[in-house]
Amino acid sequence: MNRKFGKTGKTGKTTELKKLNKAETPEKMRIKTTRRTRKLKVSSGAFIAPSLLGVLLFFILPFIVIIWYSMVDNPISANFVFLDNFKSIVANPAFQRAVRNTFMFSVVSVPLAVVLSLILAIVLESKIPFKSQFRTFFLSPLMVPVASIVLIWQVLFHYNGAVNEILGRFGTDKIDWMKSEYALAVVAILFLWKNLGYNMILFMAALASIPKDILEVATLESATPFQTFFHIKIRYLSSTLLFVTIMSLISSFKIFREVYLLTGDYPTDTVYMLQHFMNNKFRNLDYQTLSAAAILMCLVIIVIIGVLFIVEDRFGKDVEG
Amino acid sequence: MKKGFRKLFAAGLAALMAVSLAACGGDDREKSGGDKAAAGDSFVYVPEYVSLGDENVRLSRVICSDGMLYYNGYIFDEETYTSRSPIFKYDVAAGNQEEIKVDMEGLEDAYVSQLATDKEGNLYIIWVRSVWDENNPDDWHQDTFLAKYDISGNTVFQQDITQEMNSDDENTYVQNMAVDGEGRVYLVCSRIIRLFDGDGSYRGDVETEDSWINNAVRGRDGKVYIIYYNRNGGNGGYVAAEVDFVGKKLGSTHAMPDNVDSLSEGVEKDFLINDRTRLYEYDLASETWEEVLNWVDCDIMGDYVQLVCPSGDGRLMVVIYDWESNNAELAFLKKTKASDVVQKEELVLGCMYMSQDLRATAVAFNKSNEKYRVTIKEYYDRNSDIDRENALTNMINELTSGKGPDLLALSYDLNVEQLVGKEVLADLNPFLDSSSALSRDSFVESVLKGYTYGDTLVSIPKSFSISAVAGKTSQVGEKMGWSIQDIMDFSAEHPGAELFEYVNQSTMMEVLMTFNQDAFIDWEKGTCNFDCDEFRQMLEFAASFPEEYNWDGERESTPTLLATGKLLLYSDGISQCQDIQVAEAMFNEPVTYIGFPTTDGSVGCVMNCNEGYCIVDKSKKKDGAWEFIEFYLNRDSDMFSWGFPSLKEKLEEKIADACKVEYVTDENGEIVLDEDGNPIISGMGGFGWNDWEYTYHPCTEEEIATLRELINVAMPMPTSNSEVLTIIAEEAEPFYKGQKSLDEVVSTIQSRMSMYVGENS
Repeated sequence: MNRKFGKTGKTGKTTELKKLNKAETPEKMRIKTTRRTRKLKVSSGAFIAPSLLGVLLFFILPFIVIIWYSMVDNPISANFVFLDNFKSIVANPAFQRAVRNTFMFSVVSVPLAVVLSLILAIVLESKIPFKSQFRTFFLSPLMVPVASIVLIWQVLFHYNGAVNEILGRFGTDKIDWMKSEYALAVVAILFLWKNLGYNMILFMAALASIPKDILEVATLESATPFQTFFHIKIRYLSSTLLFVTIMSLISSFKIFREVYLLTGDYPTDTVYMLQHFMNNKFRNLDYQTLSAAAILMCLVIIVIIGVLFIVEDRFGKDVEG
Repeated sequence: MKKGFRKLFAAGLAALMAVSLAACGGDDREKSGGDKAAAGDSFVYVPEYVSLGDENVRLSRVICSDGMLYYNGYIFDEETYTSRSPIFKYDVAAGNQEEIKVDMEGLEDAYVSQLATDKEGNLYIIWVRSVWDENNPDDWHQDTFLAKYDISGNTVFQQDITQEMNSDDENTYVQNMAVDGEGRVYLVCSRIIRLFDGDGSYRGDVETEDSWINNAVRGRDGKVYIIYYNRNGGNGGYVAAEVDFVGKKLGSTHAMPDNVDSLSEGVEKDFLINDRTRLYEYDLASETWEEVLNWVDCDIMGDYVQLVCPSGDGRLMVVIYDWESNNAELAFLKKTKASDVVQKEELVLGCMYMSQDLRATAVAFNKSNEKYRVTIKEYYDRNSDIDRENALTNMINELTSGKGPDLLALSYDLNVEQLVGKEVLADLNPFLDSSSALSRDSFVESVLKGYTYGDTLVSIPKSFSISAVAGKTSQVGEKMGWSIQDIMDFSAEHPGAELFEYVNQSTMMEVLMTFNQDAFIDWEKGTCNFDCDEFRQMLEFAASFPEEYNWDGERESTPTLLATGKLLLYSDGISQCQDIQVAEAMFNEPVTYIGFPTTDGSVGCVMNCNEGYCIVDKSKKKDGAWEFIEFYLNRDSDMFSWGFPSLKEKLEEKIADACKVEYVTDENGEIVLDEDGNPIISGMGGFGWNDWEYTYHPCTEEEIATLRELINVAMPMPTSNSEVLTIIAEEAEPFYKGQKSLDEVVSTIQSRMSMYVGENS
């Protein structure tokens, strides 16, 4: 509130007050502001409405439908069974296996994707020759379509593929990689190969945005590179770290595409992922189990992301505005 | 100003988004008939019938020209044992028909092979006469004549074209004829077109690069076009091409829809195309076709349609010849507003493909039922971009979302068990129990049992056939049924002989798994044991067969191989009573129908159903749907169905017919005796190979008893576990090729199956 119209002096009424139009008294001013605010809100709402409608139609409503599907026995008779579908999938051995495999894959490949891409970003940030060529080299897998990548991997890791051919020269027996216990490792390599470049670019951008003066001060204060990295750079990278971790986590779930193309609907138990379970349930018209599995997966991801946000908030609080 | 412009711009963007959302999902009606439009402006074609000819005249060829129908018939005089081939003319406007008398000099004993007219109404006929050598009945040839008659029936020319027709061995028969706007004649002979000018002189041939020619027709432009299957290039598929008479070559090709049954000159566009299910109008320039009508919606059996042409008064004239009743009639189709026609309650019947039997049944039902009318919704259209798998997905999505049809036709790729599990299909038991026209006892038990899943009877097929395996009784014993170990031992006892014909490693594994998919799976516990010894033995056994079958062209015939013991088992398809004789005839000694091997040694016999319909549980017209099923099952006509009837009464009639002994009689009705004084049994048909022939005989009691036993044990092939076969086939291949050990393969199969079973238990 403008102090001119607040506490007046001993004279009580000021010249400015006298100059006020009757219509512009504080009460009327408040009304005018409220009316203006309401008008603004209405017009903003009108412009946001199409997007909101889209979000409602394509995200929120389907989610509500999925919740409904997960609580009925089938879409034809629609008898309410509450949590029976959830109980049945939790007890389902295939679901348990899928959760275990997906968890193992994410636990191994996501941290690797973050750490390795950070290391690459740091290396490429330093003064090395052919920096831009290396950058292109690491980014190029992003541009290759998934089907082409799968084709390459099949050529490499097929029972009669190049890797077995090379290993054979060293006297090793052939391994059917995608049907052995090494299948998850092969998929992890594929995942890292595809995603490192993107993460690396994000880290490089984040590294470039760290204030140079702080780093100079640290150097002047005889801080070691180790200390500079962990006490300064990491803190400034915290939001990017969070973002990269979330994106890598999402990408780790999307690895289903590659695994599906490599191994089909029913792979061996070492690479049977959550999305296999859900895709097959969809094919078999078992929408109830599919919906229940999707909701469970959603809840787990919400928890993980929530934890990540809390960690980031605590860790990077002091460097954010 | 700037702010105002920004607001305006944002509002414009929002409006654009809203408009584009409103336009999405628009209905593409380009290729659908106009009668599918919203109620209020939809049209139907209502037929008016006029009888054509009488039942003694079998309609053979029919053409239309300038308001006149020309057709020829075939009349056989049973008293004099003579036949003739008269030509008739029907005046559409006047509604009367008369026989055209033509000069038959030089054409004695000839019959009409083809008819055509030109734009002036002159008639062109191909006459064919078969000539036998009296001394050698096997030596015969055909004389072919091309004749032209004017409107009054006077001969304009008559040419003997036998020499031209016999210029090569393959293209000697005229299957189609057309006359262009200049009176030049085009004769379609298998793969070539022979050209004759206006006075009947031969002018040469046009070839089609070895493609069979389906049709020839004069277009609205007066040129002649042929329809054939183009194997080459981007225009692969059925195409139409103009025949260039002068250049003696084909013009550029135009893509046509699949399954063109007949073609005629168009009304507003170039051609009218009948594919037995629908009538289309085709435009040459844009190579597009638009549906005009669906035959079932017009209560016409599309297979009986001989010709469609404009009647000249805005109606379409359809010549219909019913092969069953020998009845020929004209149907004049008038385009009428749907609201002006008496409305019945619509039953929608969903199918992947509209079979002949279904079309015939739907037409008959629609004609006879006063309350309901069946509309067929065909999900798979070969002329559309949607492939069969996506069409099946669309059908299943509609069913599971509650928007499906009222009735569903069973299809080989429909997973019935899955649909039953989702409660998509209604239980027919209450309908059957309360029906006044049918009863449970009136059906063959194994048919009802085969289509009952749990407690739900999903369908009652009208007819069925059986697949079973037969072997020599002296080798396989008398008892029906054997286990997998038995068949492996049997094969080992006969080294050097083929177990089954045309079988390789993967097909042998399929045979072994035919009835045994669930033998290694415990669905209740959600476990499987494919790493057991029995399954290993099956894989090893299958691996002993060749990788690819050797399709040697000089191979001995199947009967010879069976009789000499070089082939041990015969996989028999039995669709009529006499088929039960085939195996014994081929083996040349008594046989046992041992069946496909099973893990428990029971008889493995497959029941293949002809056509079956289910009621969709969400339908609000279940009573009407049941009326259709009742009608279908009670319908006498089996013109388009095959196999054994599901109704016991009809099955017994068939069996009685098959057992009936009829003797050859003379003209006085006296039984004719052979050289030994025995009566000669009337022929019941037969079949053969190059070196072997068999004539059926009336079935004996023992044969019928065997047939009944097979019918009792036959079961439909399970469709739910095709994934089991797929996984086994994929993983077994490296083992067959020697690339992987048995242990590795079995371990992988067990791992993959565990996931499959665990997921679905």
